[in-house]
Amino acid sequence: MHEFSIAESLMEIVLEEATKHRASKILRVKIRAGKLMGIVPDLLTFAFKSLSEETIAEGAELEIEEIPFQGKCRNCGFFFSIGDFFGICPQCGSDNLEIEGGNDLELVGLEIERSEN
Amino acid sequence: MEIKVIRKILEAGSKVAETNRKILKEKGIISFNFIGAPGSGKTSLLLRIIEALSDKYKIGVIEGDLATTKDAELIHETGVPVVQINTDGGCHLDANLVGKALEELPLDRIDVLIIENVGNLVCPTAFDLGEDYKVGVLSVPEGDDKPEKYPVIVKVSKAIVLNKIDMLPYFRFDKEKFYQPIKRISPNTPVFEVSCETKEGISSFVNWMISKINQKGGEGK
Repeated sequence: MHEFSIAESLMEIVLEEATKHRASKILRVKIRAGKLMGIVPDLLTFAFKSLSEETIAEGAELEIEEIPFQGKCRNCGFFFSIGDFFGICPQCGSDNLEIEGGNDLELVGLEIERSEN
Repeated sequence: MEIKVIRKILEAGSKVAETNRKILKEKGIISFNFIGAPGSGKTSLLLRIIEALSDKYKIGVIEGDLATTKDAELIHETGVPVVQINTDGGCHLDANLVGKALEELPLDRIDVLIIENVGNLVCPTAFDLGEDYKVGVLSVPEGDDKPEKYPVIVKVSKAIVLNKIDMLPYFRFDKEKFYQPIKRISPNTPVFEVSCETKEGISSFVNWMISKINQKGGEGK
């Protein structure tokens, strides 16, 4: 359940960006989450919802783009995207893979409303 | 209207982790972050390490726990400086908590810092504390399927300890099944089979720690 502390950090920077851009309401929050971060999207969404209550982010939709790992085949050297640790190389079929990346966790976009003045 | 921003969500924590790393480096301290499930034997392992290392190196400990000071008291009895962090139900340590604990430790008198994370095989893997090495602590009674079910701990660990090997005769534990996913994910990560009860294998793991201490050029203070 580390989703809650991640949601706290997210909320902090979302509200900071919203202030910077003079938002009166936040409609949508877009993030990218790498597979290595072990985030359960439903749990993060739930945590985000709870924390957004009574803020300008209340009711905002959290859009989570899951970023796969990068696989490198130790047999043939092929590079590819892969969703988990135990796949096979799409080129040669080897299961001897180097799995890297997946540690991104970024806010990438906001959809906001601005007050008239 | 749409706004494009690119900001790391854990940026505040990462900054604190970098500060922790810098402080530890300046003090010449090498640090290990022990991650494992509740009951995997992290504290027992710590006690064995203290026993084996404390004549050569000055050890400091940060104890992460949901509640109670039980583990810290056990460490305190050995005479090693220890700071207890209670996360009040929080499932992992973060860089902020560790940073505060560092302020309370006599860093000038520590060569090796061991951080015992909150008992949890998942959440602690996502948080950089500023440590040098994460160590995954697994144990025989947990089952041979843990590396396959929890591949992230295998991926982030620089060494893996399989504790409670004295229990092997009593559990259906297939070592091949245990090692196979580790070899696929991290073929170069050393695995140490130990028993904190019989002390079997403890010295190999401690030697690995010493090799890391020496790599960093850490001389006893």
